[in-house]
Amino acid sequence: MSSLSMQVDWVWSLIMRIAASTTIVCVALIFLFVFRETLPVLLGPDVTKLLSDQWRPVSPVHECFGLLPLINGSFLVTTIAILFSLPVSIMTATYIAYIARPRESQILKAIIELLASIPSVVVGFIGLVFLVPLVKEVLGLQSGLNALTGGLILGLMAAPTIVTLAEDALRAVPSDYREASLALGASEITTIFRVLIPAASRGILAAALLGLGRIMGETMAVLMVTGNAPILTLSPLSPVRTITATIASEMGEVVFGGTHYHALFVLGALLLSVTFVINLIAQLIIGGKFGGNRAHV
Amino acid sequence: MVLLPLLQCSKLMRRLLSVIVSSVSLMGCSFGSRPESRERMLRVKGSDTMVILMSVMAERYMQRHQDVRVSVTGGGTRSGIASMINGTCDIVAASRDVTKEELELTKKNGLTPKKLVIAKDAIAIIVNPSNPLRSATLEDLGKIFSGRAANWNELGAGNEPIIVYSRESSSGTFRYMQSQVLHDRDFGKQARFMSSNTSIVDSVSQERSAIGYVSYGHARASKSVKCLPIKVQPVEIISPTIDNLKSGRYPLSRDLLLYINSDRKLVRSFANFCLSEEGQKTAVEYGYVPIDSKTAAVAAL
Repeated sequence: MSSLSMQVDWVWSLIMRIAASTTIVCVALIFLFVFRETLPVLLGPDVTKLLSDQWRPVSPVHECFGLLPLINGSFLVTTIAILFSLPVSIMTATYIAYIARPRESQILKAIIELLASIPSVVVGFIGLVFLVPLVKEVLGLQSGLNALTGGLILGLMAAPTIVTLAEDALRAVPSDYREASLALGASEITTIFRVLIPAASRGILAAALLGLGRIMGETMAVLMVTGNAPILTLSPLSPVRTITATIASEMGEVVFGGTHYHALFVLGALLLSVTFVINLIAQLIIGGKFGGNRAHV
Repeated sequence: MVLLPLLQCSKLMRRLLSVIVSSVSLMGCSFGSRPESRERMLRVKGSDTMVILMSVMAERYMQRHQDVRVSVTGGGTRSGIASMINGTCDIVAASRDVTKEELELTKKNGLTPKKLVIAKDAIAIIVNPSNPLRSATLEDLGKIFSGRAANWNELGAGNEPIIVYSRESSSGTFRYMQSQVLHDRDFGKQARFMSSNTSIVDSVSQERSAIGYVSYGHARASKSVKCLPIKVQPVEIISPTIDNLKSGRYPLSRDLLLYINSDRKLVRSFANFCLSEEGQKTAVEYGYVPIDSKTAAVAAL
């Protein structure tokens, strides 16, 4: 080989290395920037305003930037979403992996992946037009804009992520497990619930966590259907305001460099940290760092 | 063996070079044509209340001046002012005066925007058509929007909790309500903050116990909400109509403004169009009150 071709190789590997580092550098810069912008409020005298139980950024009386109602809103909507999405998604994944015929599961998978590609504004719009009146009528409420509707919409949006990953986990269970269980006289359903799902539990947990990350970060759809009232509540029928919706609707209008601006960055940093930790745990689980959770067959 | 990579390399170089050259020449092109294209572009940004009005104004203006492009964006008065400071818009549509703080910011950036009243707007208080309430005083409204009255029975209109819809805090309409109706108190804790006039009209039309406020232009366009007349001190009940607005008897009205930041001819020409007979006619068509022609003539640039 000539030295020239080696040089060409070297140049190309350098270019690719730079490309690969770009994303890492971007992530690092995002973290740096977001956290730096929180400092003026966290280290300043206004830090107590963050502890208030109200989020009232524009007020002639007393401005306060209590994070609690918004954290509460995000928490409530996320909980509802995961409670709704997880059972449905796991059962769907099980059906696709074990019960459906090959052709059937192919079609199902294609449709579920299609669901993942619908833009969230469109999902939110459909939620607003169909789900909001439906929730209002079925539960006899005054208004359909509440945490429950938001949770249902988000659960639907997280389903493709959870289904796809859970199905992979289920398929990865060695077929010996299934055959052994059936040979011992267990029925198909017993085998699924007592052997296969426990065997895949690690992957399913990771799937659930990644779905959770998706739910926490979702913005447009919740902004449209949750009613956006920053209330401290645990009732699913109350309107709530999530962290993401607050950032989205207020960031464009805020005075740059003011307390409100930095308070929004505190929200952003909080959201970033939580989703980062969730994703990290999911990656560790997938990577087998928290091992030892295999079924005891 | 030696030639092959050299060939590849030079091919690559050539391609790279051609890309660089073409992009440079493209840049040159766009730099060259830029001043001219900017001269024919007009960017209006600001009040969400005024978006429809300004879009129609822009459309009609463009019909007369075929070579001009006018873009209109909403987002709230404040975002309009912010983009004026950033230099990304030429005219701010504002449903409130700029604050001292904002004025200082614009001055700091070397701008001295000129204020122009182009029409008047009423704030309509809207309720669901099935709401039995006939009218309300400003005190009643203050109580409702600040959350001190939480049930319709406090106003003798059924027995249901009141659902309050408000605009987001960035909206000029929000500021107006806060100062004129709430007397600088805060909105109630249960108030729901919506990002547009339309979403408030939408929600109020669907929910029996809802109340909200929107620009009259938006309320008028919808048949599915009821404008609540306002009871003024003695026993007078006043609906938001063009006549009541013109005479100044309807209490919730405000000026719609343009803040103009540059001395460009095009900006002046567009502003004059808004003040012209045709511009004012447009305002009336969309439920706003025209300013009287004398004032308009004085204001024209």
